Amino acid sequence: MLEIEIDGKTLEVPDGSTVMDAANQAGIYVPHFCYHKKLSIAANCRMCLVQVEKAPKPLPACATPVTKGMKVWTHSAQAVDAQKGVMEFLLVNHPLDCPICDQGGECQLQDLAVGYGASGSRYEEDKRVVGNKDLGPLISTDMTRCIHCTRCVRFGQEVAGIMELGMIGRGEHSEIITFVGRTVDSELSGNVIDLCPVGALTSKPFRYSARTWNSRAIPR
Amino acid sequence: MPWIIANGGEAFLNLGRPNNGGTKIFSVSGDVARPGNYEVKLGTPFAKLLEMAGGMRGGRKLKAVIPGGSSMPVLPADIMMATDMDFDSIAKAGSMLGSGAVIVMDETRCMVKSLLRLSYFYYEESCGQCTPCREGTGWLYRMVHRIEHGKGKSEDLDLLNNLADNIQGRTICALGDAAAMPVRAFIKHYRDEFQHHIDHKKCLVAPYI
Repeated sequence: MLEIEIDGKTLEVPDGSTVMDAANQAGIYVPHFCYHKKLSIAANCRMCLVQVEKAPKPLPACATPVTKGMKVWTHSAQAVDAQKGVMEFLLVNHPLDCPICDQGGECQLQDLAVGYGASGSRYEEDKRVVGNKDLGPLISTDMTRCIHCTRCVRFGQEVAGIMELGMIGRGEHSEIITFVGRTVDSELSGNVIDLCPVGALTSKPFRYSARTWNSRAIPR
Repeated sequence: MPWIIANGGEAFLNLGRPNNGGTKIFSVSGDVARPGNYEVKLGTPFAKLLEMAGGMRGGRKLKAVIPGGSSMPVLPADIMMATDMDFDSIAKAGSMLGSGAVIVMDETRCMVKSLLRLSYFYYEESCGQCTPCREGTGWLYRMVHRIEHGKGKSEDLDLLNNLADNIQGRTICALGDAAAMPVRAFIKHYRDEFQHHIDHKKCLVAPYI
């Protein structure tokens, strides 16, 4: 067991835990996109940057292992500044078409943009546009909305066990494609709809039929 | 290497200065008469290295030097001529020795265009794995491109600095830092040239022929 102090709360976490695990245990929410507890750690969205004592720069909570006596601040000025900076970068090439996006209302990017996004954009250049892909009868795609968290890719590799989705290209030109040019046929493929933190992968059968906040849970 | 084996590591260490022992191969490129690789003792004055590389090409005046490869902060001529080529001296002057790829620029070089070329390189080289670098390098490049082509605005320079701050230290690898550092140094040392581009939509220096 290791002792760690997060935002002033002291707690003990099992050996090998990450700062994100410890924060979850302490009931502290660290904003994130690419992190998912059932998937491997990618640390590519950089949203979970937190301030760690004696570290010169903010570190990603999802990929930083807890060390003995570590002190972490998840909402200090340095951490929030880093998180806001990352949010701005995520939004520069995001189409911000929430009013016509099926993910609206259940979108992690939308939720976190309320807390970390600015009210206006400083980006005045052209935005990236990515062509949509045919992923079969279940998954509807709007790849311009993709934030490259690679959750869908990791799900296919690690949980479904089939390499159906992958990332090609580099830099701004990188995009998610099927491997290679096929449709996604795995019986587990519908899960990526829920895994996708934005509206890039949404449900084809449910498309444009209802808003989540208008739907109501029916007791079984 | 054979020299070190023959004479011992101690002798090699004593070639340079305390804390900056040994020799280093500098790859001098740019506007010098004889570009090439020069192995010198650490602590050799930059003026001496420039002399070894044949001085400035065409007898032009030295304007700026990037002492450690394109990702390191640029230094103006007056600072560089007073600096020795070793790790501590360059760090004191406000840059880093890095790979030892010394890029020499003469008075005909437009600093906005030079930064545009560097930014384009980092924009193209970004792998796209993590957010700040994937989105930030493209943003930096497009803004510098706009300034170079006469569409800059006066608030752009502060925005560029701020973006560089947001990229540096927040990425997985050092390419983000490498893209941000030149932007900050170019604006710090040559702000007047950028401002001239924004105000008058043309270069402060005469075009290179």
